[in-house]
Parts: sequence; structure tokens; C-alpha cells
Amino acid sequence: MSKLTDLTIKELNIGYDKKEFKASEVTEAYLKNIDASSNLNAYITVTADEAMAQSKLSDERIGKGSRLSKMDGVPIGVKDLFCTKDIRTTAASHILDDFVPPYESTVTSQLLTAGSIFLGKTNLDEFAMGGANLTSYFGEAINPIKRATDNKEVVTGGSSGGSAASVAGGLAAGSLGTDTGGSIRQPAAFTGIVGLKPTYGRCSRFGIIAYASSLDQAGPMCKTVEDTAIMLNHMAGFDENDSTSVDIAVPDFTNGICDGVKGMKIGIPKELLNENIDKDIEQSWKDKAVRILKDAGAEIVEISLPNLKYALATYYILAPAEASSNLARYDGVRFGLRVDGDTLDDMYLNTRTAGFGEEVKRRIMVGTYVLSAGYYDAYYLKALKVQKLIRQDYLNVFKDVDLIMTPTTPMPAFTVEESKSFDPITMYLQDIFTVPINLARLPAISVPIALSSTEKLPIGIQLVGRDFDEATILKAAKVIEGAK
Amino acid sequence: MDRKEVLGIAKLARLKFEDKELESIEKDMGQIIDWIDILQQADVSSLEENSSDVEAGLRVREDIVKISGLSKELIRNAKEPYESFFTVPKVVD
Repeated sequence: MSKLTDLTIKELNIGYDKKEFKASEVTEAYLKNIDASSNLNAYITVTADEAMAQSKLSDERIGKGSRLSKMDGVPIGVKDLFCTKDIRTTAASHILDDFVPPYESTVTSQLLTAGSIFLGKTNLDEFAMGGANLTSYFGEAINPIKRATDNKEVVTGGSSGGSAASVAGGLAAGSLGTDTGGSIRQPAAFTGIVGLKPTYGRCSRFGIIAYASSLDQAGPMCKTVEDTAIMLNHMAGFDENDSTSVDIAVPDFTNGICDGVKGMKIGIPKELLNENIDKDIEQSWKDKAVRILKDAGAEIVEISLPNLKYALATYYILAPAEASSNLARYDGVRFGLRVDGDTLDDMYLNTRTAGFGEEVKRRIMVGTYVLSAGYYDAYYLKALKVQKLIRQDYLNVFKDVDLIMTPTTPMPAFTVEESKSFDPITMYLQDIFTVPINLARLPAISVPIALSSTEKLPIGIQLVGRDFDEATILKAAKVIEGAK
Repeated sequence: MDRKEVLGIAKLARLKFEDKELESIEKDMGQIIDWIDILQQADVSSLEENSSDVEAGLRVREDIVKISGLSKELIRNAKEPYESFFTVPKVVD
């Protein structure tokens, strides 16, 4: 038998059903791995005692043949952006480094009700702002996969970098991420795992520490496409505590997941054909992925998304604007860090200056600027309008095609040293394929397709679907996964 | 983006920067603002003035008084609580 921590969620289910091993044994194996791989810095907080206690309850249910769901007894990591009752939740920020939420987020609550075991809270970019997990107050997470030529460590991507490292490094069977501009899909691509950003409104945002509320969405990060579907089944659903949660039926996403892509029409955006993309990634997309899907019976067509060129600028106005407003609550009064001052204003100033890191401050500054008198119309309102145009482009295209396919990232994972030569804009350009999807509120997955030719680093393909049509995305991702 | 403008924004955002930090934030913000300026080229004349993209509309909840009974738990994370109150530096002489 392979190692317990190598098993997929699906395989864990088979093992539990046959009573081949216990949930407590699986949990213990994961906790041992976490301990042995602390150099990856995948977790900010490990909740070993709680995890073992939860696993014993799963053992009892497995023994009695009364498992709660397919997530019962499955040990997972939880991005440290989800509020977890009585367990420290930091958003990887100094300003929240001792915050203990009095309540549970809806998504984690659903997973707990389904019997999932929480191994701990995973590392991320501070307040989910970053694309390499380099902005965490608790230090960067490290990609378990190294460069082949010089064995150098590379970044996990971000912001859900710790979640990605936990799954890729055998430190969790699956992990929870959030995605505002690519924060699930990009780290999934960098670490060679599957990551899904559901449609905006599919999973509740209640209890997720807000970055840009109109774009934030929770999603699963797993070893396989099918695991991703299983986990999503226990995350999705209407929640009256989130005013943007959509009251729509949740299908069983594993149903028909092996149906293939025969007869599907899949679009390739012509505006992205001449983007500055790494050669291996370009080939994986235009040659390999196209061939796999064609061989499986799909039709590949060129499509046009004329306003795509405005997506990054739109995102880097809207997201900082919302962030500057959302992060106004961190003032030292009700929770988090407090740095005293002579006056109330001084206390605010001292607390925020000491509590936020460089990238968070940069985005608060840009957000404050685009919302300030004199610039509000030119930047913020204009960006809202362009967002509408971008979504309209996608809706038009989806009248004709079932899916849109692009790479997930323009380049594979880079080293920390390389990232130091990037200015903020170079870093923002990493999000070119992922950001438009959040603006359009659509669902999208990143699925591993190949390794780069020289450095053997993972490459991800992104599949984008219609509103609430995660099922079709999963079917096509399964075809790509199976063809490797 | 000049120094005066950056300091004005920082004041609004309740953030303080050392002189050295100011140089880099001034440079970064200038670059970012130049970069997002591409948006001015986008033709939005086809859209109505209402800029909201939330087609489904936001739900509003019923205006019902609920007793959460959470005050003790909610105050637990405050640094300097007094009984069931949050405290701040004196604001009135």
C-alpha cells in the first residue's frame, strides 16, 4: 500500500469504506509530515490536538459505518483567512497576529459538519495581497518542487501559497484557498496541483477576512480534479449571512465528471495569442492542451474578448479601492494590534503603520487615491464600467462556446531572488490570465498539464466556464489530467 | 504624483511613512497610476450611467431585532476593554 499521505480524497474514501485504515492514522501521518517539512512554512498555526480529537470522532463513525460525507475523516489545511472559532486567525498580518475569532466562517463550518479534520491554518500573502506568498508576516511559504538544474527553491505563488504547498508537499489531503485575482489558480499552477475558483456567489464569504469583497471567492485546492469536486460539494451553497451568496441549487459535482468533452466547443482568446508567455507554457497551451481536447472530441475555436487589455488596470483599481475601505476597520480599537498614541488619531496612525506590511500599505494608498475626491470618477467609477464591459465580452462569447482555455500563468514559478528584481507592476502582470475571470465573476480551474523543459517546474492550464457551470470545467479538466 | 499628494493620501489612509519609505512609495504609486491610466482609453459610452454590475441585485434582510448575546466574546479581542466597553484615548477635554 502506498503511504497514507499519498492517497487522494477519493482513495481515502475507499480505504475508510473498507476499513483498511483509520482517520486517526491518516491524521497522524499528515501531522508527522507537517513536522518534518516545517521548512516549507506551509502552516502558520498547526492544530494538532484538535485534529487528533476530530479524527477520533471520524474513527468512531467509520467503525459504525455512519460516515457523515465523503469529506468525513479527510484532513485538510485551511487558509488563515477563514475565521475559525477559538483558533487564531491572522490573515498573515502583524495587525491580526493574536486575533481569535468568536465565530466560524460558513465554509469551514460546512466542512466541519461534513466531518473534515482541520490540520491547521495555512500561510498566505498578507491579507491575500500578493502573488508569491512573499508578503506574509510569518515569512514566505516554500514550493515543495525545486528547480531541476540548480535545485534552487522557488516560490509557491500566492496568495494561497501555504495551501498550495500543503497539498503539493503531502501536508494535507486538500486545502481551502481564496481567490480574488488568481490566488487559488496561480499557486495551484506553480505547485502542480488542481485549484478551482467557483462562480462569485457559489460559496459563502461569511467569515472570510475581506480583501476585495466584490471579487473574493473561496475554493478547493486538491491533488486531483475529482478530489476538487468532492471538496467543492461541501463548500458550496446559499448562506443568508452573505448578501452576495446566490440561492441556486448545488449539484453533485462528481456526477458525470468522467463524461469527457465530446461535442464541446472550447474557445481560445485571440487577444492573448501574442502575449509575452514562457515558451514551454505557450506550447503546453497551444499544442498539447489543444491536441488533448481535440483528440477527446472537442472543437477548438478562436474567440475575441476585445476589452481584455483593460482587465489588469481595472483590477488594480477596484481591488485596492475595496481593500482600502475594508482595511479601515483595523484601527486598534476592537481587535488586533494596538499601538498607543496621545490622541485617537495618533493611535490609529501608530497601530496601522506598525501593523501593516509594505504591499498592504501600497494597496491601501492606491485604493485611497482612486477613491479620493477628484479621482473617484476618473478611476473608480470608470473601472466599474469597464468591469461591466469585460463581463459582457465573456457573456457574448459563452453564447457560442462551452469553455474558454488559457494558460494559468505567463511563466512558471520563480525564485525569491528573481522576485526581488520585480517592481510591483511586473508582479501584477503575473495575474494577466486569472484577473479577468474574477472581474467577470466566472468559475475557473487550473489543472496541471506538463513540466517545463529545463527546470521541470509545473505548468497549469486554465479552463473558464459559464456562470455556475463548474461541472463542465471539471469534466474538461479531468480529460487534461487523464491525458498526462 | 508628488510628495505633497502622497502625504495627503497617507493622512487619509491613516498611515505614516519614514522619509526613505516615502521615496519608494512615491515612485511605486506614480508607476501604478501611470499604468492604470490605460483605462481612460476604454470606450464605455455604450453603458448606462448606473455603474453597478450586480445584475441579480443585493438581497436585504428583514429588519428584525435579534439578541446575539455575544458581547463578552466580541470584546475578548480588544486590547484595553473596560467592563463591556471598548476604550480609546480621550477625545473630549
